[in-house]
Parts: sequence; structure tokens; C-alpha cells
Amino acid sequence: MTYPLDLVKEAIAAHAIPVQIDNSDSKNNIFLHGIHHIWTPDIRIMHTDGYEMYRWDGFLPPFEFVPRLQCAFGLAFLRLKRFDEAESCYVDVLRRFSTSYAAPEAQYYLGVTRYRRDPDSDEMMTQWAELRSRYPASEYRVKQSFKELPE
Amino acid sequence: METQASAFWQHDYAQMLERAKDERKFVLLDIFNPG
Repeated sequence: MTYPLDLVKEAIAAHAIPVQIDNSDSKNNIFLHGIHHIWTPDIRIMHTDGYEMYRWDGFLPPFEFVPRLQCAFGLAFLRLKRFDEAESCYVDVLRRFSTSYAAPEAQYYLGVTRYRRDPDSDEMMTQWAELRSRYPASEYRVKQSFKELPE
Repeated sequence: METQASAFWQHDYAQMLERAKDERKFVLLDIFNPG
């Protein structure tokens, strides 16, 4: 299972306070209806203003959960323009979990993060070139494929 | 499905949102089914 591992708990606690809600407990029904909950596990990264920064459904084993979580924190930090923290999350995925399903997303958004921090940088194109090379069959390769079209 | 009887998991979402402000963190919500 995923949660008992220190690797997982440490990754969660680094950037979030963990809250579990039982969907079989009727006292949670109004809240769960309000957030359109439909399937478990339903994992959401919530900002303190109540905005949902990232979400996914379904079980992931530890070595897929942690990189998915790091991508979730990465996008949450990116939305807040906390670029250095976003970058750290994405770099961590690419260093420790380069074969995970989340890795292409990390490569894609690492480029976005560095571009948004410094629009004069060529880092977006650099990271997207790396994405095409390392993860050619990924959805994130498709998301940057407009850059592959002839001018 | 995956629950833990430890102090790791909190259960009061509204209260934890407030705590998260103080700690400059997010809240990770895990909605689960114990069955």
C-alpha cells in the first residue's frame, strides 16, 4: 500500500497538511456533493483560499504516487508564481522518478516554469526538446507538438 | 481504502485550511472509502 511508507508521508508533509475524509460517513455528504466527489481515492491539492490546485482519482503505488504528488505540488506552486519551489518539484521527479507516468508532465512544466520565471530564457524550448527525446509517446509531447509544425 | 490510525491524517478540513495558512502549505485532501 502507499501511505504507510515514509517516502510517501515525507513527500506529503513537505508541502501539505494531510486530511482524510470518509465518503461512507453520511455527515460528509454535503461537503462531498459540494466538491462533486465521485470516485475514490480522490486526491486533491487545495490552496488555503479553497481553490483546487490539482487533482487525480485512483490508486497509485508509492513510486507512482510520489512523482504524481510532486507534479501536483509543482503546478500548485506554479499557479502561485512560486517558481523556484515549482522547479524543485519538477526537477525532483525527473531525477528520482524519470520512468514514472508523471515524468513527461514534469518535463513539460519544468520548461513552462522556467519560461514564466524568465521569458527571455530558452528553457521552455530546451525542456520541450528533452521531452520529445525522452518521452516521445507521451500526451505531453503532443501538447507541445505545435512547436514541431513547419513555420 | 487506505486509512491510518495515526496522527498523520487530520479530519477537520476547514480547520486545516486555517492551519495551512499559518504554515504556508497546501491541504492534501484524500477522500476514501473504507470498504
